[in-house]
Amino acid sequence: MAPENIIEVRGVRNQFGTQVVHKDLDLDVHRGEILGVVGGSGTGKSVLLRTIVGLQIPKAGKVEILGKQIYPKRASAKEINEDIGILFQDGALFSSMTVAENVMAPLREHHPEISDELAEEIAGMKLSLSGLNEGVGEKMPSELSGGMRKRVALARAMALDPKILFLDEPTAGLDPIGAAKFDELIMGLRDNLGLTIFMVTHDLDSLIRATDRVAVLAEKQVIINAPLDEVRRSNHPWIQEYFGGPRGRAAQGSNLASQSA
Amino acid sequence: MSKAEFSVEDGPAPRIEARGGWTMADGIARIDAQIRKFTETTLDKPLIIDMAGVDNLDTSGAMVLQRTMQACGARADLSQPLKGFENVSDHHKVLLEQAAGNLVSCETPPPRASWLVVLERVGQATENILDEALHIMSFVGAVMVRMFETIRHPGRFRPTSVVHHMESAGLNALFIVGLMSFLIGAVVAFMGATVLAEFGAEVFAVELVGISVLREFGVLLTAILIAGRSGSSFTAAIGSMKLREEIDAMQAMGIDPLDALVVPRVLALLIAVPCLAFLAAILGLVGGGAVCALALDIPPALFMARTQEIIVIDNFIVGMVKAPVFGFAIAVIGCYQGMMVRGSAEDLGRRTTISVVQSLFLVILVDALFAVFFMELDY
Ligand SMILES: Nc1ncnc2c1ncn2[C@@H]1O[C@H](COP(=O)(O)OP(=O)(O)O)[C@@H](O)[C@H]1O
Ligand SMILES: [Mg+2]
Repeated sequence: MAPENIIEVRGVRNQFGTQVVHKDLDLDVHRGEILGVVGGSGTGKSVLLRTIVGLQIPKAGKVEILGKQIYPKRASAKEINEDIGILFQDGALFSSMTVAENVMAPLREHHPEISDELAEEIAGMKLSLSGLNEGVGEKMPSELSGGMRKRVALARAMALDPKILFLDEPTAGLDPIGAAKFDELIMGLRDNLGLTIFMVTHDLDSLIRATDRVAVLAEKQVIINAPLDEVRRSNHPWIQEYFGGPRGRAAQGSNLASQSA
Repeated sequence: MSKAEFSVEDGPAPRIEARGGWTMADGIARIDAQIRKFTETTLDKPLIIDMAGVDNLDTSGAMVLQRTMQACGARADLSQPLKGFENVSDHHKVLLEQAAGNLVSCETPPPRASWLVVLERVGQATENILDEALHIMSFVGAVMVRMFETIRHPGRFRPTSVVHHMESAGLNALFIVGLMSFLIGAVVAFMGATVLAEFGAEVFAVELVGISVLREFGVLLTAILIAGRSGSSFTAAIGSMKLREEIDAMQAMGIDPLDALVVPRVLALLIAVPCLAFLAAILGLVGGGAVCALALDIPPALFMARTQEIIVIDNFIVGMVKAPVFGFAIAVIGCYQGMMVRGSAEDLGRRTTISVVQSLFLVILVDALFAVFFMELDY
């Protein structure tokens, strides 16, 4: 059975002034998978993410998510917002709200009838699931460390149990233990809730441990979108350098060791 | 998808039969109050929750079920998270287990008595005002030190930055300042002449325009405009740099933010405000003169002659002396409030407002002090 596409991007072109970021870009994301998106800095990973969720309007092409068209025809924001959660690259927490209020914001927006108690309980659970201790709820985002902000942002992105989670470099800035827990967390989400996860990442360990497939962005396109082993065998020079470099080999080696142990 | 529902069998061994989709989308929020009420009546009884009819479950639904279960009796036993649940599908098991370990509420502390809050606010505000006055004075001191340092080491001087701020705060304000003072001059002449006409002293409108525009209005209105225009933009610019840790980055590089951000802005307003005040004074006279010529039958030649004869240059000097002081006050307050921004975007907005209010207050206070000072001097 062919896997069902939950996100379909066809022939997308993105351009800022004369700088073309994407040209004829195609991408498929299957339902229930964790897709890792890699590419050099500035190759347009964040722009691709923004395009898929409708924050960036492409110059040409077609974008579909959950069977609803985002571009050229725009599905109403309400139709898809409840089904997607986004963790922005630098968190994008609302700086004038407490952590708990940040997590409750989407709940209150989409379920205005929700009681304060229930909202507080759900927010508390999401924060706890994201690995935060009790007590952070009352803090302001500016009082948190970078890693904690990431976790709060994840809790907020998951507040409504979305069908697709978009993560922009979620483990950047986390300690290795935290990053490994994060990987486990999202794998758990995928297994338990059937989430689809679109994850931009440079963390080779995450790629190896968590992703089902890897999409490589280079030359303004997705040059390959396949399981990691297959991507590795590609002889594109950038891919060779990425996985064949000292860090790539180290990550792979340690993972093999942990698997055989 | 079906709505979240449940039915209960009360008694010594209460049973909840959950049915439908226990998800936020299917209305967990709707039935939460009911289930809470039920929980209160079944405390300390062994509860059974039958999950056979549940076709859909999300983390929120699992949380509500676990919360209900754990509230009933001594069941907060993490080693057996599924105790009390019946007919749980494999899929839902994981969610219920997960929820059991993460039952945490972000309860907000209850608000305190309102009179206490009022008292606290009053105290806090008083302390803040005193604190801030002290801080502003020390900030002024620090800026002065940096400015003298710049004079001693001219290499530190940042001409590009100064010129840039002179352009945006001064040059770009030329039109609005000029237009405003022209209109003010015209209004003063017109209103003055209307009243003076009753005494047959219309011609004294010239003195009225000359003295009021040169001595007060020109410079004061310029300062008010610049406080609103540039003071606020200084606060917003420096404040958002502060929020994005740019100022910390400067400090770490050994760049003194006072040198890089504050001194150029202060110098720019020290130069720009007097220039604008001069323009305002001249255009105020022009406005007054135009009204005199067009509406009051005082020809421009007469206007010029009386202005030169009667309105001594002292009035002009008194006006211009105040201009750099106003410029300094506006720039220092704007930069100070920007440097004080902490934490959130909201604080930035608050500080921007405070910056405008404080610099307006300071401008008017300084103007009043000058008035007393010159009166004592008989100037
Ligand atoms: N709003 C914007 N205006 C102009 N250029 C942009 C904008 N956003 C992104 N770009 C450009 O698009 C390219 C891709 O950016 P981005 O997607 O953020 O890269 P990354 O792959 O590192 O996430 C970069 O060269 C960047 O300069
Ligand atoms: Mg990026």
